Amino acid sequence: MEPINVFVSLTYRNTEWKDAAIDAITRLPDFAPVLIKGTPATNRSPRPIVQDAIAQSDVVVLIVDSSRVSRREESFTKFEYQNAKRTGKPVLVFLSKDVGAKTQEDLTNVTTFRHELIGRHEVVEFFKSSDELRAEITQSLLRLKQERFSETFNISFDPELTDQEVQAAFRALADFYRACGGTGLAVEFEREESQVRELSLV
Amino acid sequence: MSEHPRFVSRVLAKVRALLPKQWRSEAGRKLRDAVGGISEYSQKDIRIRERLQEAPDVLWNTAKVKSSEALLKAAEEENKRIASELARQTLADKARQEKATADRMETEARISKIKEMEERIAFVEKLRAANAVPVWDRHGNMKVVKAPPDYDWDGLTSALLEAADLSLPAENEAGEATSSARVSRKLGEPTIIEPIEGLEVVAEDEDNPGTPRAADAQS
Repeated sequence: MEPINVFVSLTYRNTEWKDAAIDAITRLPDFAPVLIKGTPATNRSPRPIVQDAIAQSDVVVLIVDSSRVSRREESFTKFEYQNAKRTGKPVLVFLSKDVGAKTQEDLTNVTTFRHELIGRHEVVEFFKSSDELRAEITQSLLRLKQERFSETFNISFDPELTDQEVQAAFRALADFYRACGGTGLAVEFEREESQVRELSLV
Repeated sequence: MSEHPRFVSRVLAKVRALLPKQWRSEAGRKLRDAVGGISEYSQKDIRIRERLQEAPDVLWNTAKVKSSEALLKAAEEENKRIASELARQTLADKARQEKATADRMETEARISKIKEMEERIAFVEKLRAANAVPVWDRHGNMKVVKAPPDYDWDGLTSALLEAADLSLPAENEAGEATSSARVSRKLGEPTIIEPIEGLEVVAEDEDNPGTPRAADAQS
């Protein structure tokens, strides 16, 4: 079985956090980090390679501290984040509790990006030490594995769709999966009863 | 004031992607990413956002029992396709003999990417005909929402194509397709993406985007 490939954001000044992230991922049996190996020799931008790496990953782990987003709004971190979102990858965001920006401009940029991440209601966890980061990454990946990588998931259809539209939509999904190399999408039905309490005013 | 307990029955439809190995590899990744891309794109659509918020699971499943019946019919058809696909795969396995060389694998990877773009176009066209937008919810379940009348299908196609294109190997100066990186992995080990032929990876300096920052290169 293929491991779940986790891209860990590249440009950390803080190697302690990078090591903690990679350590957390490699300790989990079904996960493998996607690492970019290189030496500083040429002046080419690593962007195409990062794009490749993200495309080949299943999850993107983004660790945001003030030093990474403070200098320019259009930072490399944002590039990685936007790339991951555009390609449809789940992104796990970890924000350091220490903002630590040096100038007002830095603080504005940090705050804007942080608010953007928090405002999107994605998985955002806060940490202040590498131990906390390791624990948060482990928990988030295990949760994500259960929710996003299980081969079974619930499907529900908008009541406004007609029968024909429901069938056509499901067929489109199944055909696409098959075109991508899958065998098909089987459907199982379960009847579930839940108790509802109604309050009467009389 | 009195309280009357009552029971509500609902039908849960659970999709099982076959085969589990395929779901965890390329096929599953492509479906997850495509629906992930649609979910991301559809965040922009106010009507879809509202629809997802206003319709919790229970309502969606009880409001229209007919949709379960329609899905049941589609599922029965799908079972037949699965059976014939399994038979086809068995034959294909028997026929497979050659081991691919690195060059051939690279060519195949490129063809596969182009094919993926074509498949994405076809996928969006079918969804458009069905008037339906599949999105992942935050629990990893899928909700298929009726597309609003002004839904920008062309914009969705462009967004999905752009996303698929992001991972296409770049062309070199001579206009030849080349892969910018070589991927290697043994099972259970990290994926290492190694730059080839002098293209080496360094982290970019945030002060000067496009300029490498030597100190942060991973090794």
